[in-house]
Amino acid sequence: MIAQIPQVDGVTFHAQVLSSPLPVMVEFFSPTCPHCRRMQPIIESTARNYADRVRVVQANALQDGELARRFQIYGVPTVVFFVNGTEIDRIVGEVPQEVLENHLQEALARVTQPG
Amino acid sequence: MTTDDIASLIADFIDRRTWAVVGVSADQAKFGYRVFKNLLEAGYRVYGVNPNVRQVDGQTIYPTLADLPVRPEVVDLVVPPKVSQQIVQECARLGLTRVWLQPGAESEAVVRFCHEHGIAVVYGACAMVHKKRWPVSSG
Repeated sequence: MIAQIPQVDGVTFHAQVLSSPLPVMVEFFSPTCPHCRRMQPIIESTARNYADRVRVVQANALQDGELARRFQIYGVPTVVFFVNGTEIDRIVGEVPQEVLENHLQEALARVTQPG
Repeated sequence: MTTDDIASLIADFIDRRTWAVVGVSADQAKFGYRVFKNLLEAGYRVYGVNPNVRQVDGQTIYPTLADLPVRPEVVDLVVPPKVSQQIVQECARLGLTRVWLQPGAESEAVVRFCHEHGIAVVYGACAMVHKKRWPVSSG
């Protein structure tokens, strides 16, 4: 089954990402980017694996340039991790699932061990 | 190379004003056109390179990097890996030290060549350029 990844934009970003009680992984992507297309199943699989611990969303950087500028997205895919409304890590470029999940584990560790 | 390295390189590349796009296409459906057009629209000074194309959207296209009237700060490759290999060798000869390999242009050999020849190389990501206002004094 293919996971439906919620999409966020400049209007919904605050509510869906910055105010989330769960850590959030945002993938900024472009529909025309082959690297992003190759990352899609990895994002979906990660969303499934961490469904109860992390909110996974996507933002179309091409469609919402203002949001992309705000978060200084200069290359896609860029995955940004937020905890309590603050960016704590980001990955730029296509990476294997193992690398993505390692970053996610580190983000989760920051939630359970603050400071 | 870590994702932090890639992020730093991308930020540095995007801050450079003069780019060459090797493999520029007149076909609007092709990546080689969109990359060229996006950079132009974002305010970059962009020079297209393709030995088989004379003009794209009124812009002169040059046969090789050596034919460009200026020295590009970033060379953006939208060509197959075999051609990329030749282009990065030309970059090394010309002293061009920043190469962005667009999807389909990369290979392990090309990346290795860049690393061995002091060429900063970005791969695995598509450029997301935004409209920029460049200082008048920067040319």
